[in-house]
Amino acid sequence: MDQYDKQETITEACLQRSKTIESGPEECPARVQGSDWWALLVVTIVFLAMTFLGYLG
Amino acid sequence: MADKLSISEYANQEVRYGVIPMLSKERLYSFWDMAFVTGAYAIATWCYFHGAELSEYLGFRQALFSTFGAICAFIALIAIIGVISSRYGIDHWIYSRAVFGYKGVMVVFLVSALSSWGWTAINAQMYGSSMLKVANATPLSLSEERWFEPIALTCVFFGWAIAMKGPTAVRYVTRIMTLALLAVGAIVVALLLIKASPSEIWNAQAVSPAEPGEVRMQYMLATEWNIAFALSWFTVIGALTRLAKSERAAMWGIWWGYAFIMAVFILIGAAVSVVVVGQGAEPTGDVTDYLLELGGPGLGLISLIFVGVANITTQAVELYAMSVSTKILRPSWSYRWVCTFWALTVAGLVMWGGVWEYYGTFLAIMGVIAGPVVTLVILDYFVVRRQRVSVTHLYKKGVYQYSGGFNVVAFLAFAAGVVAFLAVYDPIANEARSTVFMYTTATGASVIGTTVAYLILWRIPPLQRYLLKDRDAVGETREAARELVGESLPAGEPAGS
Repeated sequence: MDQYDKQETITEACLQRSKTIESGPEECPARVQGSDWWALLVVTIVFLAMTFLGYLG
Repeated sequence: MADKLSISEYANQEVRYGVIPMLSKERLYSFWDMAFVTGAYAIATWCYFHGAELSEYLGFRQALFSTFGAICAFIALIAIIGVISSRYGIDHWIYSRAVFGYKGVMVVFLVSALSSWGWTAINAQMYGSSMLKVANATPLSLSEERWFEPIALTCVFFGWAIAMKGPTAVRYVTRIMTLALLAVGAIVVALLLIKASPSEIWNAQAVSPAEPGEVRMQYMLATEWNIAFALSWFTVIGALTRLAKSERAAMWGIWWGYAFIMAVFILIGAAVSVVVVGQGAEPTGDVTDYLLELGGPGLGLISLIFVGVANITTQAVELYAMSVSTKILRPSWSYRWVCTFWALTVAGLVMWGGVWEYYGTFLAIMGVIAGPVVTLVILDYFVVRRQRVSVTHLYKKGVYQYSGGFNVVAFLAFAAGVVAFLAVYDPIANEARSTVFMYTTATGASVIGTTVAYLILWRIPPLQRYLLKDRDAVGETREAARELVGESLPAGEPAGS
């Protein structure tokens, strides 16, 4: 395969798989749940508060 | 290699070693794999060095609050980017085509990559320094002048050899190394507790305590280093999280590996420094001296060997991820050649030797770039596009071309972030320029500056239309998706989201 063929193969595979991914959730991994987002938010706030506590001494 | 492969075999190979989206069933990394890979990437001699650097200005308690607080909070931004990559099975640099434009992303990537390789060279040099110290603690007597570079280059070589084997090899090596490194961390903590009581460690003062009026300033400077340190590795994240089996594995794997484990090791470095110097050791600022002082020739050496070897896994992860990401420039490039090219680049930087002298400058450059880039990617996906993107158009020069390949609006917001950074902090002199720095840090200011600028620009109707040129494309995709899957796609479910 020369560079042109490689490029064409990759482009075609990318477009085909993009359509597959867009076609339905079964081709995508399980989504993050709302509880995970909340947990990440809480953890972030706690650690930001920790930084601020260190600032206060 | 590609010459001997059929077209389908070549395409399958490029899924793991290139830019082709990875489908759910092809994913390799579980939560534990993500935590081990990112943990092994994070743990390296530089954690201990960074900890020792912090201990120059902060006592143990302050170091604990600054390190855990800043790193564990700001890594959340990296974890969110990991979710985007995992969702579509694409590198976040591919998604960044929607943010910066098809050509714009190449500029941002190249600047980030060049800074990253500076880090990687420092990583190899730290390995060389550690291993030389180990060798010289034995009957071997190696001159630094003659042996430093060759030893440092072996780190690049071994990292390259692992990276060439691909993500599966990286997973196995990092699994072993992370467990070994956690054991070494536990040994160092045990040694610390033998040398000093918990209350002595808790109350340990900085190696060079600040003047009473400067304590808060020193704390915020150290916090800025921690934030820049944490965000600086955003360059590799998408190439790893596209391999994650679930978005959850990507999010929490990064958080535990990158944030928590890294913070623990930085803190161990800080604790070793403050305790050893507090007990009368010469304050050399070199954590390898402190480890030898702490553990003696036996355990101290073993710790040094393991932490030194950890630098090899860091090299391997960095070379794999950056080589895959580099292919956004030209997808048909051979992974092996790209990986070899980058390994030679790092080797060249190691032989030059000047990068380590500019450690602070590299940290500052990454801080200037990382804050705005990370912010823009998150804002663009979650706020501007509301989690709807045309994956197809990420791979063809269509709606994400913007103005000659550059998203001018994103670059304006990027510039606003850089201006905010430089307005509050002088990264070369390592000095605050404004009292705002005391409340936001420099990277925090750049995140705020970028956010405000991008959201204001996005609310201007003509610019909103400019940014959301992909809405029709997303709509077309939705229709096409409905035709493809018929009833299985709920009417309200946006395709590409």
